[in-house]
Amino acid sequence: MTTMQEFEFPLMDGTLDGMTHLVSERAIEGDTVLLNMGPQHPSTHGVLRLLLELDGETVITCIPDVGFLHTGVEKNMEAKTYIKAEVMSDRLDYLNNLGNNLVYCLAIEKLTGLDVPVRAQAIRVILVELQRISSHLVWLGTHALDLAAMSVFLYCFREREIILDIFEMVSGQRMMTTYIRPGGLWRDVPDEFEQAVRQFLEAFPERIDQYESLLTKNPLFLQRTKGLGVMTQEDALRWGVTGPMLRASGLAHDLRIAQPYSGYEQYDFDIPTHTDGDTYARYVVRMEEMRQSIKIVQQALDKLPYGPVRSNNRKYVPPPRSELSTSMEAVIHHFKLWTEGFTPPKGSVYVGVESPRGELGVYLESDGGPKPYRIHWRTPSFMNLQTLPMLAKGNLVADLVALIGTADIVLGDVDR
Amino acid sequence: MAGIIGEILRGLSTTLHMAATKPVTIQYPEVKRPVRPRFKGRHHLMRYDNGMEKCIGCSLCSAACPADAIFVEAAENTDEERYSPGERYARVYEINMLRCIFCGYCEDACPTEAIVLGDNYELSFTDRRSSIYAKEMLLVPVDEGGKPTPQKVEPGIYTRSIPVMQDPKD
Amino acid sequence: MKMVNLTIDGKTVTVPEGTLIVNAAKKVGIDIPVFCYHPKMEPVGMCRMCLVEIGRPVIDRTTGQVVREDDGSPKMQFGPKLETACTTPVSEGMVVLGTSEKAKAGRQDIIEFLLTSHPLDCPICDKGGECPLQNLTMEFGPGESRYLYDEKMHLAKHVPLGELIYLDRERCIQCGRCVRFQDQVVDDPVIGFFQRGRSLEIVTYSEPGFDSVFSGNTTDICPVGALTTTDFRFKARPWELRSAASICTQCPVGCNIAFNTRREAVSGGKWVIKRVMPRQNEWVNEIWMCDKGRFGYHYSKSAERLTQPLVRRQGELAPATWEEALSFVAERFQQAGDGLFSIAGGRLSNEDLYNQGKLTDSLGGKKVLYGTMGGGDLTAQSGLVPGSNFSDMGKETAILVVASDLHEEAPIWWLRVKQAAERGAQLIVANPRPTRLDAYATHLVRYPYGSEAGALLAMVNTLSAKRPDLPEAVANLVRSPELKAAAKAFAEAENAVILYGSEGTGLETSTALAQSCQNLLLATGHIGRINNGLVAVWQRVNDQGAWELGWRPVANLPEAMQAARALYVAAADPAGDDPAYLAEGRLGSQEQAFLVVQDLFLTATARLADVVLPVQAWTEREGSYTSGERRVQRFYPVVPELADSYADFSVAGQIGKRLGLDMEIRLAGRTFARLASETPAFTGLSYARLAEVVEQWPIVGRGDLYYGGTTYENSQGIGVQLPLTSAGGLSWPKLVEVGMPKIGLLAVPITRLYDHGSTLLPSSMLHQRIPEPYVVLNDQDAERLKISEGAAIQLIPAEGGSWLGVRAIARLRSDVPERIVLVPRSFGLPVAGPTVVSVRLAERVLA
Repeated sequence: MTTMQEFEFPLMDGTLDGMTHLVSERAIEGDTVLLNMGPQHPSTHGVLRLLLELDGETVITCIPDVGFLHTGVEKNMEAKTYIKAEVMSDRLDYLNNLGNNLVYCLAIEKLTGLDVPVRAQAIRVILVELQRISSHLVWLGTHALDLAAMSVFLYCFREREIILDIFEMVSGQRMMTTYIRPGGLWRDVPDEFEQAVRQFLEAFPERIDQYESLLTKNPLFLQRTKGLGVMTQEDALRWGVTGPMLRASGLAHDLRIAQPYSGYEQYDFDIPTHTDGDTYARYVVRMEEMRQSIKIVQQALDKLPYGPVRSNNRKYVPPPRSELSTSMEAVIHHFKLWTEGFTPPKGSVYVGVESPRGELGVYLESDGGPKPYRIHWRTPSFMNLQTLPMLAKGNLVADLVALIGTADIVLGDVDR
Repeated sequence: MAGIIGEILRGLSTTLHMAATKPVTIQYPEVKRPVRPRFKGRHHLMRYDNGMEKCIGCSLCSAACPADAIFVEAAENTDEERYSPGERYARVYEINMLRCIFCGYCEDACPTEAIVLGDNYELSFTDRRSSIYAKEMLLVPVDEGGKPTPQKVEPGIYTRSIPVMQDPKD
Repeated sequence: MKMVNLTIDGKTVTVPEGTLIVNAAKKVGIDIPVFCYHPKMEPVGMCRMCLVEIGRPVIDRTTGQVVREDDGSPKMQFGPKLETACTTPVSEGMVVLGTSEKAKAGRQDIIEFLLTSHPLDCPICDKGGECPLQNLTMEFGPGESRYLYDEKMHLAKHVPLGELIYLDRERCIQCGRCVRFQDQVVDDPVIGFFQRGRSLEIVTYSEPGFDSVFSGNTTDICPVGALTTTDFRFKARPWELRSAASICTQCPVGCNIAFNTRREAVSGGKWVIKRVMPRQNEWVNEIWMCDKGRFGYHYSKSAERLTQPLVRRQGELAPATWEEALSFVAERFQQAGDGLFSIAGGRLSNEDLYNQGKLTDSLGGKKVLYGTMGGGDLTAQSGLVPGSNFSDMGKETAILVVASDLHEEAPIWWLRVKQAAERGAQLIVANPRPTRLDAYATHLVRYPYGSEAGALLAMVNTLSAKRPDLPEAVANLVRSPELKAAAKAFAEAENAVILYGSEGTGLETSTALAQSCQNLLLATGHIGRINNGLVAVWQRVNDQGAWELGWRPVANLPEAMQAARALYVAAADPAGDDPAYLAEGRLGSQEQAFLVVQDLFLTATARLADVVLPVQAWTEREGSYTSGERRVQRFYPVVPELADSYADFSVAGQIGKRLGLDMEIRLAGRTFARLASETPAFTGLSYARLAEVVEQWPIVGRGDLYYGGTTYENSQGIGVQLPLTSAGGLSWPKLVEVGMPKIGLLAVPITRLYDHGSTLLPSSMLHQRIPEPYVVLNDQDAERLKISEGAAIQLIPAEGGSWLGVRAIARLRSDVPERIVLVPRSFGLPVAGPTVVSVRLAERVLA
């Protein structure tokens, strides 16, 4: 067994020294070209660096070099109290802000045994599904853009604007909302919320049809995506791939059904799957997911219960403002929660949710103090990106762009 | 072949149709979209109707800030020179706008509704020094019927630091 | 020591009999919440926060055996009500439940009751963030209130108790810690309870209010923000502060302290000290500190501090660069050669004294410690050995305090000696006049001023067969029964410690006193063992360190300076202390010696100097001090140093380097290493060893702030006590005949805690307690001389030389011995030893 001292870390400085075991022999001989793609590249969807060994246009080996967006979030969160650390969760997968908030809060709630009122759960579902739609819209827009369908990009962002406006309405921020807090929500949704969401729900299915009209049967699109990057279900499971990538390979696994959270068991929706496992299949799955999200939001909005939106457990949740002028206990709890923060009991939990990219999980370990002892984010993009070298082998560089798009990676998610 | 042409035509008809509809683009900066009521923009230090500052210099906002953007130094109120009700007021109050992430935790933590996040998002500076907003820049102007601070008041009236507040309604 | 086994919350613990359940739980890491209990005070069970369920094994009355259940376990009888863990000692087989439903409900109810009267002050209260009430409410209290706000009790807020402490009566939870501290620990009941029930409030009985030198400690142990210091009011929040360890420089005890600092906007972003907190060191100051140290640090941030070297050009002092100043100094020192005369004050650290001493010795010059107290070499021979601790002294120890008003000279030692006496130690107080320690003494010995050494020799005389002759003044003493009883108690005690001070002594009398103290210890065999030895109550923090490094005071400083060609004065102000220096031009005139002054402020001596060198205050650098108990302790930098500033040792080192000497100029640690290698007593010491810590009891300052208070945990070093140097022997001290004058009065110097010292005056908050210069006369003498209370008088020394312009207020007391004038030091009245003076009313100052 190689010990740490014996292992030779490969140098990723552009020279072949130290990398010889990663590339084929033809590269060492000089037969193939080593091309650096990124980290600054419009099609890598973030700061992703790919070292490509090319034989002409064909990719022989693809070595992803991640870490350019690494900000040390997990370590940084150890230095902040739980509430302060939540703002960092927004900024991990920056297209799935509310989803990150949700999984973080679910982890805290599981660790502390905190209750979440039913109204809060329903609103969480609505917002997370809207977030899913918005994330898929970005995926669709940028994926199509990479494949030269420029108008789809603009149409998708037009819809996304409506969703971001709804987020601004509820939380004051379009993206980094920090709206889902441990024990429920930050505040109740305003009165205009229901109207705005219903308006969106009414208009949106037509829009999905619009995108489909431009892409689904488009021969150019089909040529570029059909049969590209086939991943068998076996491979997908071996690599730990989750989310639409896995469902497109045939396995109907969705955490919202398999391990329901936040009241998902109440809603009736399908899990879109496909058997081909290629880029086109993943496209179809995600388009259908958007429609299913609409269905979920519709149900949740119809069934939206009345009630409080935040737990009443004052040891973890700050008291309402109206109590601060008359209640001594409220003042003390308010003070301590906002300065020192709450102290969950010792222990560790893992909670996973279905993010637009796959299984997003938080491992949270508490040592009884106000700051997390260890927090680890199991991020789907990081896992899914690992399949890229396997999928890219033998394809052209142009296909590589499509493959990055189909993996739907967000670098914030990959690098943390 | 016909199918291909058909599909391409179908796509083209979608885009042409969209070209004919009214664009959704707002021509910023000539036209500015109004922000939602809960929008988290530039901070304001609020006053009471009588002109007294709401901020009591408790530093809870500073403690709650995830980015360490707020710096507070407190001082003693006297009835001859009263800035806020109660014993304590903020003599120095600075927010470093470059560090601020506009999360609104300061607003949530404030026990007197003194610091609120307003609607202005058009903030830019040319050097780091000017990104530090001092108290004078954050305090809202005095209302009609109010007096500027420091005020000279009768003793024994303004003794309560935390006012009666409502839960946020918007 | 009988050990008892019991179970607390499922954990078994074995503790000595008589331990309270709260402390037993602490030993196994279980924190039972308390408010009124404090580990350093007797428990009262007032607050009821420590309620626990206690079960005791049922004992069969007839057989005396434990009744067993069927499975063999003892049958437990739980009390019908919850009991307080702080007042209940452990018993064999006890089961204590702190986490049962009943106990939790009890704690929640108690918190709820306490909060009913508590004002909604958290955002404006200084204690917020380090408040035991807040922490315990979070842990045990209810989340919502059932109490109507309008029915809350309204009491006075922001009540000044003196000018040092603010009391907020609404916040008081009536735990009584402050009152009990003042009563039990320091025996100074200047505060007390007034009214009953919900109206109970704290009042102060003294004028000025809260007139106790330990008042600051109540703010550490108060569990809420009822007692806060004026020094720290609204300055910062606890989580915004950084802390750094240091040693207090106001007296030779060497209390361990911690400074809290923060960057401040009003001073343009400088790091500023916000407050001083005590640091736990059970061997030195336990968890307390006196007010002089707590509020007397402001001199380090005074605006009067020198920032640039000054060189005299054309008769005026003008700013100069360091290069200029140091080259000039080095050149003149070189010329002076063995005519270099160094005077150092006891405020300097070991490193500073070492470098300056090395510089002086290398040139062959003479080095003198500025002071009027002797015996430092004797304390090195017969002092306390490592392992000694005042807290361990009890019935088997005799403590003799001679020539010292300990409450004024070293308050923390006064406290520890008093506590030792209360534990049963034989306390012998030998002093010419009554002092605050008398109330605890088992034996009181009065001797006339000037006969300190004689008094102790008289004690030796009563014990030993050899009876050398004694001076006239003490001849009567030998026969007094009090002296005989005291000597007997001293000799019979297993351990004995002598503390000698500087009450009414000058250098010669002090040296003689020290020698006679050592004689007494030798004669009774109390040297070289733990809790035995001689301790000097020096006047400055590092006088003992100076003695260890070879610095000695001289009796007649002006005479000694005659032959000097260059004077190097550091941390001393001869001209400021004695106008005679100014008047007769003994320092720094052109014909006289080249005068270099190295100090923090532009003192009177500095004004006469040829070169003035500014230095860093002790808060800006690191170093070490040797306390009066011969414990070497480190202090650390607290605030960043000013640009282009140097510490004393660095300045001396740089001068030395320019003279070709091999001296350390940068690191205090390296200087200390050199010092340790060259000084036998310091062998084996290093900064790393001085920074070692051990686990101390009681546990303070951690997550359970409520238990011991907000004193800081000591994680930067408890210091190391020096071993004894070669033992001295019995020798007859040179007794100076200080007789009562035929005419005039005998002026004797005494020490007052709050004086006009340059390290104290910048602390304006203490000014209420610092009087104008005064002297104390016997009331009958005053009547005879027609001097009334409060009259402005002047003292004229009999041997000539007037102290014109130096006037003082006369105070009259009946417990001052006749024909004696008590002159407090550091008030501008230059009485260095017993001096014959005549007293007259001060001349009117004509406009």
